Amino acid sequence: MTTQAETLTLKLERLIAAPPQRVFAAWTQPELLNQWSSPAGISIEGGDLDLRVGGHWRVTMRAEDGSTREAFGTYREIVPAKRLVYTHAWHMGDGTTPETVLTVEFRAKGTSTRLLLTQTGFESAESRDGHQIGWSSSIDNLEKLFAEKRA
Amino acid sequence: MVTSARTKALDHVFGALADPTRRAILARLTHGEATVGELAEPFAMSRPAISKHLDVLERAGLLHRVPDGRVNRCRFDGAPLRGAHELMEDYRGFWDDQMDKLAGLFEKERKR
Repeated sequence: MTTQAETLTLKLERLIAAPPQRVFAAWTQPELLNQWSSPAGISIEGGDLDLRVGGHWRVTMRAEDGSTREAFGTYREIVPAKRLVYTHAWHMGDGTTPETVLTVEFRAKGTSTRLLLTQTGFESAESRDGHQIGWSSSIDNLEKLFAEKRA
Repeated sequence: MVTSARTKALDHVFGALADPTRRAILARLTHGEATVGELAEPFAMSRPAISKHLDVLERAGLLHRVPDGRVNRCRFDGAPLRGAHELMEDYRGFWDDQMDKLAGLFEKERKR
């Protein structure tokens, strides 16, 4: 039997054509995050991050209709080239800020990285599915970023 | 020709499935119908970006756009997966054989 917590957890796995330290950098350096972390058709308008345990991050995304939405959170665990744990919340515009927790693991696989993303604490299956679509699209960008660099 | 029509259908299905984002969209739709707007929310992707993926899924027959008032609702259709499943079944024997050999190898190692 699956519990509700299990069904409201998102797990994604992807092989990225770069070693863990470079994929970790892409996940933690603003100029690199700008290049891949928004899903297709969504742009990054601004943001900042303070990469230390307890440090905050925030990013503003803009959709093609001009509407914006801000995501923000706090770093909980930082193990360079290995593991990153942080909270992830959205300003929904109605005053609510639903929060989830992201764990990103970077495992060396030859000269590539097996990326494991786990996001927990979704309020609904719809929200989890929506994030699965968004992350899949963003990680497509990440994959392409390194595929181009290696080529 | 029957075989070429079947092959083309398979090409479309596997082409549609060969993309993590489209698999994520399908996974969402197996939980119920959704409009393009709902699929794009919350900032999952832009509507045009979502629509491009929906076109590919629709061409493979895995998705139908059902008019509902002023919008279309997207509905998952698993029927085209039957052909893909049948193809995979053809390889199942190969996979099971390999597993039997692997199990046999471990068994020999253990007895040594």
